[in-house]
Amino acid sequence: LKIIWHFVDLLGLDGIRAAVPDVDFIGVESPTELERHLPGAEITVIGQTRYDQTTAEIYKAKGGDLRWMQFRPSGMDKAARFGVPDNVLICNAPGMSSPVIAEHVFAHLLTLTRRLRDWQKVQQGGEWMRPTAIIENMQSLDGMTLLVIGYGAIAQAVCLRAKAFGMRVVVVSRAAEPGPNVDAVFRREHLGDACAEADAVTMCASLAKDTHHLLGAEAIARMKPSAFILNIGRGELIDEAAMIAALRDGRIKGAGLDVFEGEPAKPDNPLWKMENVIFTPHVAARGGNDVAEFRKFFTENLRRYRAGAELMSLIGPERLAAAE
Amino acid sequence: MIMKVLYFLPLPYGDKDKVSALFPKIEFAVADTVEELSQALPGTEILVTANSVYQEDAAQVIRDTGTDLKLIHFRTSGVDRAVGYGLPAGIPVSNSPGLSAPANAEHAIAMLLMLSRRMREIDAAQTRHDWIRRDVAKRIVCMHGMTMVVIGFGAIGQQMCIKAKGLGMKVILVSRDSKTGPTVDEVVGRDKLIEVLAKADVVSMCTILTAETHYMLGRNELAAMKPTAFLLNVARNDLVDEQALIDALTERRIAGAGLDVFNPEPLPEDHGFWDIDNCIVSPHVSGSGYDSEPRTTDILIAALKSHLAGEIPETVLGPEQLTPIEV
Repeated sequence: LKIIWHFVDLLGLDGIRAAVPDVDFIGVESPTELERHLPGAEITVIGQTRYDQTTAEIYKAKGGDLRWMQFRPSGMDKAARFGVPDNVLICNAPGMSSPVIAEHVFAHLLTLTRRLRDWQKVQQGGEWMRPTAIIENMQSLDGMTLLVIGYGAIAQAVCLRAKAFGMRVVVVSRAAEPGPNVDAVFRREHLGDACAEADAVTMCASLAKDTHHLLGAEAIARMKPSAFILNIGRGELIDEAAMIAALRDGRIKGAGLDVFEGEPAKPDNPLWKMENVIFTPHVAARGGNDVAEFRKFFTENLRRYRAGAELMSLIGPERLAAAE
Repeated sequence: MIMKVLYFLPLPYGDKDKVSALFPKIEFAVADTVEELSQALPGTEILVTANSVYQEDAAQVIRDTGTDLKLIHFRTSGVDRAVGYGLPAGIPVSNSPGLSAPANAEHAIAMLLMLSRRMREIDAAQTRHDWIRRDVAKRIVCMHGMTMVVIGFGAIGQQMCIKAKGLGMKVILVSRDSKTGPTVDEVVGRDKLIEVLAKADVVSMCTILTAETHYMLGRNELAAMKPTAFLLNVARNDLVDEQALIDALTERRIAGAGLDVFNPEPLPEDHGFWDIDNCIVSPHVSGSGYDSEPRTTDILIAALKSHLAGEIPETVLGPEQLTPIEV
């Protein structure tokens, strides 16, 4: 059995070789390597970030022996956009990074509310200063309202943490119901009303046809001038131009962003320069246990594949089409 | 005889009208100056004051003319000035602990995540318009599944435990008594401090400062910590031996520290903490942004009720908190 392991920096290759020693895992990073190794490979395991137009074309042209593509992590928008070979099983791997991504959301939110960037400047100045302008802008999350858009694994991890910080949690989703970590639920058609209640809006939906620019100019216009936008989902969930305009005009207070429309973010993207924007380069999932978690997940899925059992997180053609 | 309560506080008095409305049988008076204080104290049974106004002259007047006092209540958590300048002997003293505890704990977690998620490095890259994803990603650590040792289980300690649990951490509490809570996985006595410090990915100082807790985290304790561990202190200065901490940070024997309290404050310009790159300094602001007024009022009301009922208010301090700390 020949399996392609297609990841940046061959992430996790040594671990999976040790975990499943009877399989020939071939590490692949570049399109050239892929073209060379793909013929004869029955399975490929691939990181989403590698799946671009060129890569997809190679898979479609040379992947004649492929039976199963295991994507990592959960977002399927690139596979949907660039297409996959016909008659191949497609799986994703959701939820592995939820705790660490939710943690990153709170790193952004707390950096904004505790004004850590301002205090950082004071520290760099090397002088004990307690300007009223900074202190009066400090906030406590206790009692604030967090709007969570989406209710997948990441969103649920965010809700849990929000409760520990004493926040009121409002969710926009078809799937959510009020419970211990959810105070209120809105349907998507009432997104504007939900935005009007929020002290912070966090985007946790996956990117699909109907979530592209889900947070648009209209919804942003309903937000309080004291509210923050947080995005660890996908850049395209937000109308970035509308958000930039709102940030620039002071119609919202700030943003914590880990994802952007077009990555790496262009050097002339105005978000780089904004004082009220915490800007991290798509690292929300980093530091987590996700490599080990994914190894466990894939080892089990491979066992099922070899046993002829049903695979976990199988994505049907309709779901893949909807993700585009 | 009607009971007299005297407010000697920094302006404004906040809740005086609200509180006096609840106790029609108590006479509430106000002293704005030390002179007014000396005139009003005779016949006063309860003095309501604050650490900041308890200066040397006020302390003298209270000792000399506060002969009818039965309780001194502080609307602040700290009473160290009063202890330093001398309280009248034999009169119960109560305080208002953990007034901004949710914000204190939040601030500590904010500093923790800034360290663990390398926000400072990323922030510097933002100003350079530098997408440093590959470079920084390997150094980021996740707190989920890590262990936080929380020292002290007062209002701030309790809030720290809740927040740490929310982040999916294992919580080990170091506490004098065996008091614990649902967000605590394990509780140990202070005699086990060194042992649990070796297990900690994060150590959070949340206890009060007494002669016993002074320099509780000294050279030996810091040496027991892992090189990957972070230290947080938003509670009280002098719980940690500052010079030993500076050495541990600069020699990379611990990974970083988030500090909001110092000795002395203001932190002098030539102090070592300012320039250590793995040390986050904020100037004693961890309680800011939180409206502590409702809780302050509730504590005062509870103290007055207990006193009227002939009971000792819950917030009355023990002798170890009223003893000056000798260094």
